[in-house]
Amino acid sequence: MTITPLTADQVYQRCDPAALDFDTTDELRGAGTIIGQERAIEALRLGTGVRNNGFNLFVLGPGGVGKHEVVSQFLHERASGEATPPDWCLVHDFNTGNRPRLIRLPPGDGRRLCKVIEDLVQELRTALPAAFESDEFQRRMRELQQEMGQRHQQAFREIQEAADQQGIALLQTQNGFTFAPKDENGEVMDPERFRELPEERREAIEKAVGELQERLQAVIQQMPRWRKEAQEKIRSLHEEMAVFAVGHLLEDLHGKWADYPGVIGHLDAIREDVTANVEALIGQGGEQGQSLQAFFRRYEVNLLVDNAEQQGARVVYEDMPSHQRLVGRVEHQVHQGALVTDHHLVRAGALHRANGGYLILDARKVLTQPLAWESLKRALFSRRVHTEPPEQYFSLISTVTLEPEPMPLDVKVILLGERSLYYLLTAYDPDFAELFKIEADFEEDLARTDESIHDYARLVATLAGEREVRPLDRQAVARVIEHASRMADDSERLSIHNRAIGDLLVEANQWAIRDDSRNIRADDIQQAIDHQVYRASRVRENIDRAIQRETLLIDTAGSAVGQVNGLSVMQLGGQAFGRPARITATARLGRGHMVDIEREAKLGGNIHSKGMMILSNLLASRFAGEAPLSLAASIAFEQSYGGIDGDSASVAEYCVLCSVLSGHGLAQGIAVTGSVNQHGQVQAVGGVNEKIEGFFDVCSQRGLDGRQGVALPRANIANLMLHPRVVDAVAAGRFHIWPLSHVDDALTLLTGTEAGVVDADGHFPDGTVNRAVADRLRHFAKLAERRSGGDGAAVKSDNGDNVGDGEDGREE
Amino acid sequence: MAITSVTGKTAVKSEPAVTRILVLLDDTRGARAALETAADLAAHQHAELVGLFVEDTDLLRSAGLPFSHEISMTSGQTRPLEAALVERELRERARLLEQALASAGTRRALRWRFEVGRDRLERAADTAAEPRDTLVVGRNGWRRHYGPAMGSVASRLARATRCSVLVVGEERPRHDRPVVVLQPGGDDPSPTLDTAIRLARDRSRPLCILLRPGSGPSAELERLAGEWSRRVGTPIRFEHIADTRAPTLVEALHRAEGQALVISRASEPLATAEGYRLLDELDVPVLVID
Repeated sequence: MTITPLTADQVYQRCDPAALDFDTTDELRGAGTIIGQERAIEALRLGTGVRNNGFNLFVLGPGGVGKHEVVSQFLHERASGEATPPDWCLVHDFNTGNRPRLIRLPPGDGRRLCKVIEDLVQELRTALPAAFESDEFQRRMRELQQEMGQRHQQAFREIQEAADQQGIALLQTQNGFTFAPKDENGEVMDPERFRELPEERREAIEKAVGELQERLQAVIQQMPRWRKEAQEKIRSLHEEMAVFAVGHLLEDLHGKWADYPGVIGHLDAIREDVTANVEALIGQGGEQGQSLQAFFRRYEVNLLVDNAEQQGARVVYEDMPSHQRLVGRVEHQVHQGALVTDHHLVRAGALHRANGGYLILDARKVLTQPLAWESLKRALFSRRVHTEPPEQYFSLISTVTLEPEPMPLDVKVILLGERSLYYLLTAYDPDFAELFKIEADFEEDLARTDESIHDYARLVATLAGEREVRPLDRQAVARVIEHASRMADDSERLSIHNRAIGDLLVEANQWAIRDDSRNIRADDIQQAIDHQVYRASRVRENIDRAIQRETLLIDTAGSAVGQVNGLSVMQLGGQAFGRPARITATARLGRGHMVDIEREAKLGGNIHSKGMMILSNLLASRFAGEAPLSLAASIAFEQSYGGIDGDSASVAEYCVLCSVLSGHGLAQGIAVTGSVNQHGQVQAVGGVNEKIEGFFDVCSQRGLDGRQGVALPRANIANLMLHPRVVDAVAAGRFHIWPLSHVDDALTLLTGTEAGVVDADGHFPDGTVNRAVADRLRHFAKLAERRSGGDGAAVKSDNGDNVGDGEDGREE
Repeated sequence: MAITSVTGKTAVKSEPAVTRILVLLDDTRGARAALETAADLAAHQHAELVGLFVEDTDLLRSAGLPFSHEISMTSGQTRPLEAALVERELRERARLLEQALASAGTRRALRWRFEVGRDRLERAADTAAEPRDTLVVGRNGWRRHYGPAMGSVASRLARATRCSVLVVGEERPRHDRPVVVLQPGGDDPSPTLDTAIRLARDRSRPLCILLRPGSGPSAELERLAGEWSRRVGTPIRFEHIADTRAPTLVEALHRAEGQALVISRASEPLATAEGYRLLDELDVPVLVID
């Protein structure tokens, strides 16, 4: 069985610049950046079309694929054709004082209302004082005061006249009045003289004084009622003046805003407030002008949402979706040491601004901001925006604040986030499924076809335009397309990570500038790619150096028993690179126990262990189908001091195990990758490009001898997009890539001996690797049977090692 | 009354300076305002401040009557009015008022004196006051509601005494309003006008002269006005009034937004007891001069 290595064309899918029908990307300007996202676009179309509650969207996909740009572009196009949402105004609550009322107005009318009320306030400030300084008002006030005074005076005069007629004086005391008889000089009678008066006279005087006292008492007790009546009349006069001063102004506005009950309600409230507080108003002025200003400030309007200049529905992106920036906030001012607020200090949140349109949010940010997720859900469930400060929830501050009327909400929320967030929310938050019923899953790549290549070229052109870089010539675009396949790890697909492509263009532009080139060329793209790799290659170079100095033992020539080159991938930040790893195996007599040293040392992951178990069973089923597998083997990644996971080394591990059992040496110039199933089929693995390039670099530094190469699963051929230096070596026959379908292919390739196919009797042909393995295992089985048939003492493997019971027990 | 005439080309003293400012003291708010005004006036004119507290004999006799009661002005309730109680209250009141007078006088470095008289109020005031004195009397807000029928203290004193009487209220007058003077009707208008002019000049206010019905500003009056206006740079204006009855005068004063009224005791509104109600009708200080 001969395994044919891949050709250069098979390890790199070139993009023919001749297939591109332009000279530079300047000719492609104007194309969009949305390609390959039909599924997501369809979801967006559905999600934005359904206005029912709960049909909000979650846009899934990794960062850098252009979710935000795509969603934003789609929504802006859609929103521009929709109705412009209304303006929302906030006005003072004249009933309770702390629940500002909302007024909904057609777009643009909010500004108009603000101006109208400002003008009204200005007029009130002049019209009210003028009315109360008028001659008429002053005269009528004096009339009322005189009327009240005359009423009192008349009552007193009558009492005094009655007293005078009876020769009795009415005197003022410190706290009131008293009556006393007068003498012939009009002065109060001396007490001695009074006592000398006849008894009848004294009694008459006493009686008269008593009656006068009663009359005076009655008058004094009437006075509060008279005062109240007078105050009522004064208040009526004030109201009459106030209505006269503001009535015509308000009547005009009534007519103009008759279609808006909220405005009419506010105007009526102003009228009532002016008349109710007119005494305070006319008492203000001068030093208290600031208070007057605060008084009139209550009439003015806070334009919470202004859509005067908006065309179509709004698309709002809130980049810091905290609780307050979502639902708005109530600010405070320090006034004479106290925190005060009013409806003018209520600020709109993103939900207010996006009302009637679309709100884009980053899911991760919403979830990491305190209260933001709960506030968003509450708003979407209740379809109302409640502007409440977070302190209120936690009772952190006990100061006077406002509870603005909740705004009715009609908004479509689009959350952008990673897939993991979507799955976590779906699993752990029952509200999530209720509120975000549409998922828009973004593709990370698209099929590489003749048609898509042209679309991709337009995407490159658009990204170049957006990043303001020099135009790319067609060769450069072709190189970008090839790199997109490499980014996708698939020669038949193209990555649509717009951010990474855009960054590549920016870097390539620098190389073009350095070379004073009008266009970005393929070389500039390659330079940018190489430098991206170079910048991240410190660790890789350290490892390469260690291999060259044989600190890390990797053979790249000759053959060895029980030793093979496996391949691993290290992911560091945004870059990954491959490195070879020596895998060794030992085998001895035992009870079918396979020791995975990585697992025993707790350095192997679960998937690696699974691969080892599959490998163990594959070996047993092929070579010990009818007898116990009397083997104790161990496999290890040499000089590996970190964790290992994955099953991509299982083909190599199978080969090294067969090598140690069969005694056939394995070619050290060949590295192997691939996983194996229980039937011996080789299965695809990831990171093949990096693995191949990693081994290639080690070999090329030592000198390529034409026999080196990498064996990889045939299923991975489609993933190959190797670096040009590797492709060139493959084309020159100095390095080879062998495709594997079965583990026997790997054995044949690595040992240079046929693996051997089992015949109808279940035997492998003589001289094959598998035959040697089978013979060795059969030998182990006989030894085990013979040595354990007696006293049950510990058996010995053929190399003399003890095989303890305890070790066997661990296999259980 | 010390009046520096500005009627001629040269300013001459037409009368000796005021020697004393008398203030009638009791424990009402109006009297307290009167004390402050009187102290300011005394400081301004370098005069002696005399506080006069009168123990009203009518009240003392009344308290000695066996059936005497005080009717509360606020509640209308009565309580016995006992002579001993009244005597004790008067003594205590006198002590407190002397302290208040001392405080006002000391703050302004004045010569001050406290006098207590036991007599009827008008007689005591008239006895204490000399013609060249100025008597300052407080206008008590609450008494104005009942006082006119009974004759308020201010109007009674303004009528009974022979000196100038300044009636002040509790409210401080505004300083940007004119001094208003009623054109005197007698042969010699100078004392009244001179006083009004000096008042306006000292306080940098305009002067408004209310002209009697049927009379225009005489040549002498116009000359006076022009002279004074040139000297102090503040205009004088003339206002006609329909008659000289008290209500008309009150109306004119309101219209002119006057902050003080200067009026001659010999003028018509003060010719009768009714006319003296004018003093209680007004919210601004009134200076009644002979």
